[in-house]
Amino acid sequence: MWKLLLPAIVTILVAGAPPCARAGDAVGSLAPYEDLLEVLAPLTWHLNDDLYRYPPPSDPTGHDLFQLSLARLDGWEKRYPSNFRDITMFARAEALERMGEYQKATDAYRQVASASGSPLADAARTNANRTATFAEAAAMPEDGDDLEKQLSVLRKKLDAWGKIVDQQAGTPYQSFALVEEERLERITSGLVVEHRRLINKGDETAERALRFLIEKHAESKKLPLHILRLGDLYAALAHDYADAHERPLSFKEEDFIARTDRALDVYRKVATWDGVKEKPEGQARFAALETYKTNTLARYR
Amino acid sequence: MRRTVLILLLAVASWSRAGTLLDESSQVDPQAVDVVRHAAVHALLAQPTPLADDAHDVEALDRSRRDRGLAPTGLADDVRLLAAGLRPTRDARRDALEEVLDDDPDPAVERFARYALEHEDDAGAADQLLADDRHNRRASIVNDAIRPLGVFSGGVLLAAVNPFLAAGSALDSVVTTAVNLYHYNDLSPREREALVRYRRQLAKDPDTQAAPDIVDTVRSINAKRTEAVCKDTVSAAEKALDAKDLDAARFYVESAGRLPGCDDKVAKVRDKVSEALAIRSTRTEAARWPADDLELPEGDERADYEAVATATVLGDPARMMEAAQRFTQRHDDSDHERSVTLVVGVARDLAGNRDGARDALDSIASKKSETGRTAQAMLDDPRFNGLDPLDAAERRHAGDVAKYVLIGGGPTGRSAIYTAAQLGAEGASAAQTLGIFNVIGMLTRAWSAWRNDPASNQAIIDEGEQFLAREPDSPDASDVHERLATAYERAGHYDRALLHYRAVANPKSSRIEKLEGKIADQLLENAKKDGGEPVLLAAIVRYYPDSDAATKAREALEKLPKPGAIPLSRDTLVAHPALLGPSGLDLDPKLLDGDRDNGELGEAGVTVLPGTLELSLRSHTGGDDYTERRPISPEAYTRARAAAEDALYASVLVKDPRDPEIGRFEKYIPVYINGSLGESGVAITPGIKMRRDNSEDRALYQ
Repeated sequence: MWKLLLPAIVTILVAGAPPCARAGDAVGSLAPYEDLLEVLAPLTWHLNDDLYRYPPPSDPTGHDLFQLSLARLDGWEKRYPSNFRDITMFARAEALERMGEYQKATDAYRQVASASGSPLADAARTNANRTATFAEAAAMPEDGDDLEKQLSVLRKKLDAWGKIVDQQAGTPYQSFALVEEERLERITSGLVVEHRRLINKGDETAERALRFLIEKHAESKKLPLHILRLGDLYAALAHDYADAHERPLSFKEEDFIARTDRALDVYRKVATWDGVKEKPEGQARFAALETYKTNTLARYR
Repeated sequence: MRRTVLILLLAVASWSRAGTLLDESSQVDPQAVDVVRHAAVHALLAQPTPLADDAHDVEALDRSRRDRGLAPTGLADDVRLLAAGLRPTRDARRDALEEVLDDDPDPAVERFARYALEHEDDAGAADQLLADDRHNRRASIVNDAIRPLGVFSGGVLLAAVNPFLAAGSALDSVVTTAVNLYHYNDLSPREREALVRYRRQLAKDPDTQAAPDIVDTVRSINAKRTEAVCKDTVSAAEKALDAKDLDAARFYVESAGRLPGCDDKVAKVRDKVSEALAIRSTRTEAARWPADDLELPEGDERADYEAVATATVLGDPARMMEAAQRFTQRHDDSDHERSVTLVVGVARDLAGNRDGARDALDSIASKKSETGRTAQAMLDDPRFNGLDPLDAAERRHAGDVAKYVLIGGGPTGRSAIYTAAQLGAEGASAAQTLGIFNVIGMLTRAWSAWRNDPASNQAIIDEGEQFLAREPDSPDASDVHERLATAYERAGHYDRALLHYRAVANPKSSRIEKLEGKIADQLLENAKKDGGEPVLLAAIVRYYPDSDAATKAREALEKLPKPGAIPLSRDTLVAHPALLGPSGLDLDPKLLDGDRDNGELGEAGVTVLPGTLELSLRSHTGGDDYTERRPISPEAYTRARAAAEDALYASVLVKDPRDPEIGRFEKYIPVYINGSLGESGVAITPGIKMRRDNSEDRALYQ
C-alpha cells in the first residue's frame, strides 16, 4: 500500500513547496521591479545609437523602441506612482531627447535634477543644459511670409544647429544635431526646387542645392531619399521639356532622351541599392519614368 | 515501514516551514530593491563597471536567499542584460548576451537577448545568412538530382517496364545537376543581405576581432555583386533589344559601360544596339522623302490623278470616290491604279463603309509595293481587325490551359540547355500518358485548372479593354463586356468582372449575385488578414447584405472590442496573475482559482472600459457565462489600462518567434519525405530541408 501512497505524497509535497523560480522569473513582490528593468534594458542598450547614420531602433515586435519605452514608462508610473520616480523620469527624458522632443526632455531632466538625494540629479542637470540648448535651436521659427524671408529664417536656424554640431563633435549627441541640420537643409533645398521657376537660373540652383545635400549628408541614413529627390528634379525637367515642346516639330528626341536618361540613371542608383528601404520606391519611379519615356517617344515617331 | 513514516514526518515538517517561506518571499526584499535601483541608475548613467558589480550583487543576494531557503530574486538575468548593453565592443556584447541566454532567463529577457544577437549583431547575423545560403545551395543540388530520377516516385513501376522513362529521368537529373552546379556561385539575396550587414558592422564597430575575416568576405561578395549588377544590366539591354525598345536598350548599354569591369561584357550588345539604331535612323530618314523612282502621270492621266490627289488632301469622301471612279474608268491600265484603289479604301472608311474599305484595301495589300504595304498597315489597324486580337488572345488562353492539363506546368527555362533537357525528359515522361499515374496527374491538373485558372488572362483583358476604349458604342461592345467579365472572374478580379457584367445588354441576376458573393468573400478574406478590419467588415454588411460573407462579417463585427476597450482573456490573466493585483485590475484572485462557488472568470475574462470593468463570469449552475459590470474610478481605470497594456505587450513579446514549420530535431536531421498527389501523379520524394529566409527585408535584397 505504501508503494502506492508514496508517489502521491511526494507529488503533494512538491506542489506545496516554495515556488522554485527559474533564474529569470522574479518572485512575486519583485515583479514590478523586473518589469522596470525590462523596460530600461532595451532603452539603455540603444542610448548611444547614431540616429543620423542608422534608423531608430525597434523592439522584437517591430515597434519604434523609443516610443514604446516612453509608453511603457508611462504605464509603469501610472501603476506605481511613488516608486523610483527619478529613474523613470530620467529614462523618459532620454527617450524624449532621442525622439527630438528637446523641450519635454529638458523639463523631465530638470524634474530629476530638483529631486533631492537622487544619484541621477547631477547627470540630469548636465543633460538639461544640453537639451535646453537643443530646445532653443529647435524652437527657432522655420516659416516666413515669402520665399526670401523663409530662406533667411532657415539660414539662421541652420547656423544655430551648425554651432551645436560643432560643440557636440565626438559625443553621441552630435548625431541628434546632424539629424536636425539635415532636416532643415532638406526643407531649404525643397523650397528651392519648389520655387525654381521664380528664381534666376532656378533649375541649376535647384540641382546644386540637391547635390549639396547629397554630398554633405553622404553618411546619412536618408541619403537614398535625397538621391531620389534629385531624380525627381531631373524627371520634372524631362516632363517640363515635353510639355514645353508638345508640337512635333519643336520636339527634339535627343534633348528629351538626355533629360529622361539623367533621371533614370539617378533612380537606378536607388533601385539597385541593396538593403535600403527606398529601393522599391526607386524601382517604381524608374519603371514609371521609363514607361513615360517610351510612350512619349512613340508619340513623336 | 519505520523509514517511510520518518520520511512522511519530515515531509510534514517541511510543509509547515514552506508556509513561512512563502510568507517571507512574498514580502518586498529591501536589499533586492536597492540592487534594482543601483542597476537602473548605473545603466542610465552608462557606468559599465558599477553595473557589472550590481550584477555580482544580485548573484550574491540570490545565493544568500537560497541559503535561507528562499527562491532567488529572478532579477539576475535582467541586470545582466542591462550590463551587456554597456559593453564597449561587439565581441564583449556577444559574449555577455550568450551568458544571459545560458542562464535560463525569463521569456522577455530571452526574446530581447536573441533579438539583439540576431538583429543588432550584424556580423553574427550575416554569418548565419551565409551558412543558411550554403546549406540551401547544397540541398538544392541534392534534391534536384534525386527528384527527377523517379526512383522514389510512383513512376518507378512504369519505369521498370519502360526504359524511356528511366532514360528521361536520368537525363533530367544529370542536366538539372549540371545547371545547378553552373549556377552554384550566383549571387543570392542572402549574400546581398550579408554584404550589407557586414559593411554596417564594420562601420559601427571596426575593432571587432572578426574584422579581418569580415573584410575578406566583403571583398569576395562585393566582387560577385559587381559582376551580378553588370550581368543584370547587360541582360536588361538584351531584353530591351529583343522587345525592339532601342531607347531603353541604349540606356542600359550606356549604364553598363559605366560599371566597373563591365565595358567589355556589354561590347557585343552595344554593337547590336548601335546597328539597330543606325537602321532605325536610316528608315526614319528615308520615310521623310518620296520614293526615288517616282513616276508622275502625264497628259489626261495627270489631270485626273491631280483631281484624286486634291480630293484626298481635302478629305472629302464623296469627291474622292467621284475622282477615283473617273480615274479608273479612263485609265484602267495605269500604273497608278493601285494608289487610286488605296484612295477608294480611305474614302469608304471616311464615309463609314468599313467593310467596303476593307475589301478595297484587301485587293491591293501586299509586301511588294509601297502602296501595298500602306494598305496592309491600314488593315492591321485595330479599326479594321476589330475583335481579331481578342479572339486570338482567347484562343491562346484556351491552348495554355489545355497544355497545362495535358502535360503540366512544363519547363521554367533557366537556360537553353536546361530547357532542352527538360523538354527531352518531359517527352520521355509523355510515354506515361496511358499509365495510371499520368491519368491521376492529368485529373489533378484538370481539377486544379477548374478551381484556379493556370493561364494568364492578361492578354484577353488588355485586348478587350483596348477595344472598349476605342469603340465603346460598337454593336460588339456587350459581347466584349461579357468576355471581359469572364476573363476578370477567372483572374480573380471579381470587382472588375462585376463592373463589366453589369454593362452587358441583358445581364442575368443570378450571375450578378454570384459575382457579388465572390467579392464579399474576397473582402472577408482581406478583413481577416488585417486581424478583423472593421471598415471592411462593415462594407461587406452594407454592400452585400444577402451574401454568406455578410453573415460572417456581422458575427465578426459583434465580436470586435468596443472603442477604448481592452479585452483580457482568461488565458492572459492566468499567464499574468499580477494583473489582478492592486496595481492592476484590483480583483479578487479567487476569480481564477477554479471554484465556481466563489466566482470564476469565464474564457472572455475581463474587459477594461472607461469607468467600468466588464467581467465575464462562469455560471454557478453550469449554464452560459454571464457578464457583470463593476464601476471603477478614473484613477483605477488609468492603472488598470496601463497594467492591461503592459500584459498584452508582454504576451506579444514572449510569443515564440520560431517558425512553426521548423521541426524540433531539424537542426540535427534536416531531412523530409514529401508525399504528393500532384501534377506529376503520385510521388514520394525524400530531400534535404531548405532553410527558410526569414529576413524581414527580403524584398530589399532581390
